[in-house]
Amino acid sequence: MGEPNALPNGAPSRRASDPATEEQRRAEAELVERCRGGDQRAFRILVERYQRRVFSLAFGLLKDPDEARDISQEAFLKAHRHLGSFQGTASFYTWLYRITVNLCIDRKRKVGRGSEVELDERLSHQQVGSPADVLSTQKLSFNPQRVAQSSELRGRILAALEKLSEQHRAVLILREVEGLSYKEIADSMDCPEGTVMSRLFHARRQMQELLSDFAEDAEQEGAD
Amino acid sequence: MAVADNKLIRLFDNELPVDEADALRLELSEEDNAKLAALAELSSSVRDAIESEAAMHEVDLWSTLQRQLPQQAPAKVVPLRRKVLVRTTAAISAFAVAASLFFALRTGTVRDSGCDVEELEVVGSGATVMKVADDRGNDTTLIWFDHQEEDEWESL
Amino acid sequence: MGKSVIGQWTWRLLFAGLLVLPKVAVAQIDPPKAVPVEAKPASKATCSVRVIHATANGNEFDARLEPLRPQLKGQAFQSFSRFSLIKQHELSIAGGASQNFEVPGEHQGVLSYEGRADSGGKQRLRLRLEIQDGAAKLLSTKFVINDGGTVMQAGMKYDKGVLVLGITCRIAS
Repeated sequence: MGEPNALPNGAPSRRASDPATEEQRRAEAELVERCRGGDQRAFRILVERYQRRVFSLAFGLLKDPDEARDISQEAFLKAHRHLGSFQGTASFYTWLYRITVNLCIDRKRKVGRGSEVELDERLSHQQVGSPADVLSTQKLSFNPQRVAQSSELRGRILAALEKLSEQHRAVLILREVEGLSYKEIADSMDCPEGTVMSRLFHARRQMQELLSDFAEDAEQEGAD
Repeated sequence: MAVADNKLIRLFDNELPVDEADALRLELSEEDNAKLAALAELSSSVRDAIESEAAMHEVDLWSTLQRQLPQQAPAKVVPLRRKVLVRTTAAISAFAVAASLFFALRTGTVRDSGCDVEELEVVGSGATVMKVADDRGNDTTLIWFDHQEEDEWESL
Repeated sequence: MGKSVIGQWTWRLLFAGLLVLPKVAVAQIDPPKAVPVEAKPASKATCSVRVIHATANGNEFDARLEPLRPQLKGQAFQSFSRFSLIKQHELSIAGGASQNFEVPGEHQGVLSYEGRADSGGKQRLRLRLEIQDGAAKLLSTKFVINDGGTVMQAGMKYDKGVLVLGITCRIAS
């Protein structure tokens, strides 16, 4: 097939609000420095810039809006308290995501909802894609655009996410929703990039499996 | 021949070098393209599901945070350039406190209890070394560390 | 002639002085008594690490903590009234090696046995205790204790109270 691949919906490219450029990074570093100096207005800018994304991340991980709000608040408080120890080798938001992910995992463990890492974390990325464990070619039998409009579809997808381990879910959300690179996810999850790839592969593979039942349901509904 | 899944995923995630990605796109089979399409569908479904659900909830953290921030210990907000200095100071302070307590609490040699603290380094506001008596009238050394969780997120 | 003999002796004394001076200086900084005997790596230590939770809620005193009652009921812990043993780790540590143990609150304790440090006719052990939070080191301390001696560490916040570590080590043959 000679035609260069045009991804149907495009790969999850970096989002418009991401502070990806050097200039944005510098501006953010300045804000962080001002916060360190006790400037609450600077911290407010950071909160307002990232609160929605931190909340989405926490919501994706916890599925409960009230808990997600609590965790988001705690994450910002913790970030504020520990700004002095933030070394700045990674971006502020990666650091903030790490705090959020850790808090969410802690919260799940505390309430006994934590699921073990079901999939083999030891798989290196070289092993990913072995014949026994390959990506699905099966498309979902619903139009992804409908997801935004159908609460039932959203519920099914969130329920499928819930079945993943915390680590797999976190990696998937950081990639698909936040659009982070492997390196940024590795920084956020405090793990090697190879682990990120492995977790991402298995998370996607598992989601495809979980949603394949859903696809069959949707087909049946369509037939009815 | 189908492209290995790990490469396909890296292509999908824009994690391959541009040249390699361009070359790979020329080699894609129908099966590869079907996999990429399935990945893209999954990706947008997950993204839309979480964003749409999350968007239904009001998020205004600042009003609450604002009330809580002043309660944060200002000592914990340390400029980066002062970090090393503060750590060193904390270590030295701990030593100083340790030494002074040893000498203040003991009239004789500091090794009476059987414990000599040779090094003490902590993160946070400091540590105290003291002697607590046991049931035989001997002293037990107690290292009290003011836990500040200072470095909890430091490794970035 | 006599002058030159005096001169020669002056130079000899000066030379001898230069040789001796560094040793004197070292002795001043670190007197022989304080210099511990170097580690004997062949030895092994057995350590008992009691992880204790101290809180102000309640008055119970865990019976398993009786050996440490005088210390825990002393002035240093007067703001706490309830003491419970969360876990007791029994570690066997070879000379120059470390053993990890779990500290509640998702922290990690690392106890290293750096070897024998006998002095003053007493058998003594040199140990290093580290408390880690992931990759970050919260506390690192090196100490020498008598064979069978106990050292305590406290202050880590945990569940509305603090954690106390009671570490007792013996030299194993």
